[in-house]
Amino acid sequence: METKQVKKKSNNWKIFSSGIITSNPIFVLFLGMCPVLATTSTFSSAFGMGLAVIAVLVVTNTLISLIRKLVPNEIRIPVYIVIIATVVTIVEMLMYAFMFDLAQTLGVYLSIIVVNCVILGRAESFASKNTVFHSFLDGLGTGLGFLLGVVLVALTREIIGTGGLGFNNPLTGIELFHVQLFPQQFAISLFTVSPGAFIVYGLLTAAFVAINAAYKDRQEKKAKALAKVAQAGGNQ
Amino acid sequence: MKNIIKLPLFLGAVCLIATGALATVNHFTEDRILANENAKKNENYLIVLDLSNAGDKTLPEAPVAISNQTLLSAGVTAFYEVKNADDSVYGIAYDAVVTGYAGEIKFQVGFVGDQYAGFRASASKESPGFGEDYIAALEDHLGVDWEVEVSTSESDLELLTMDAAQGGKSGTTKTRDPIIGALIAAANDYQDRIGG
Repeated sequence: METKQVKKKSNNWKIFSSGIITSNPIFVLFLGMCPVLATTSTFSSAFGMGLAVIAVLVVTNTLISLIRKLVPNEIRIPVYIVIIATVVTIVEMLMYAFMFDLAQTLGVYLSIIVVNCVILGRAESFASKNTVFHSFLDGLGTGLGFLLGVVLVALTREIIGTGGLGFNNPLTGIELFHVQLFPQQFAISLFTVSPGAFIVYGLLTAAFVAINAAYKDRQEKKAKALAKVAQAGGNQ
Repeated sequence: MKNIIKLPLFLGAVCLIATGALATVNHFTEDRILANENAKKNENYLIVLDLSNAGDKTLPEAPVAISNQTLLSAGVTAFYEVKNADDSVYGIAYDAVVTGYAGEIKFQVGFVGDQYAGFRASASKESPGFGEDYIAALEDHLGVDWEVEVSTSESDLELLTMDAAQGGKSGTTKTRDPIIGALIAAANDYQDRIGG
């Protein structure tokens, strides 16, 4: 009984964490790259974009999983698109109502979450085949993975590009803090524009892939060592 | 044959539910969004006309739309005229929409007396470090510590803002030129209105 519960828990964790690490939409799956390059010039806007994507992913994944058995296979993609477009528009309206400054900063990138491949990708490959709870976990994990990606890119770009780091309250738009880490004349402003975004994205992807590979390697070595010990025990 | 009816019906039902959800959220957020937009604009008008230091003067209820083609082609779309107790003009704030490097820049510029009184951008997606810094410098200095006369020519205004806003850095031409064009057009109209 206990083993079943442990297995269940570990399965839930696996679903949740895969979107953050092993199947990170930005650094591993290379999905939804447009906002990663366009909304990461500042930490504040990237954080806001990440929150919006989490909200959309969680709600669409849950809704699609909820109606997965009702939707005829032939029209599943149009149905998913209608659901995604509706949820994105609702999130956009709510942001313009309650996070006006942030919504203005994100501008058109908020609307084009509709065509973000991460959302439709998760709907088609996961939510349409799994339970509501698992789809919710997958949406949350993938959303957090997206948030992690955009925040990492934004932090790097803002610090190198401006020499400082600031954060605005998403609800009021008022600056909560701003620290100048080194004099602005030493900042490389290339990193605040598109080419800088590509460079940072490339370097961070390389780092992420290297860390993932090292982690997998370590796990494999551990498994091999355990197998050897088990074999030696069996021989004795 | 069944599918020909069933599939569109299903998709239609999904669309109906989506429409209902959107209408409901719109019903609850519409007023708030409109209030946010107006608050932002009014906040800008108050700043560009320095109305917090102008006694009991308030903005008129609605702006006056501009029909002059020269102004419209420079991007100036509307204005608010604030009057003194004796009905003379205290100051005028203009609304402008120009196309910069990264799309539309919406801004308000105010004139009081014979000087630029303030500048505020209500929407802009210019590049941080370049166009965005230029706009931020205009917001921080024009009418604040740069006392720029309305009669200043385009080239003088260009030089002044270029030196001070960019710190010798290039790459803001596509942001700067349309803004300067709209500023000069608004300044000329202001002079005409106050009879300068």
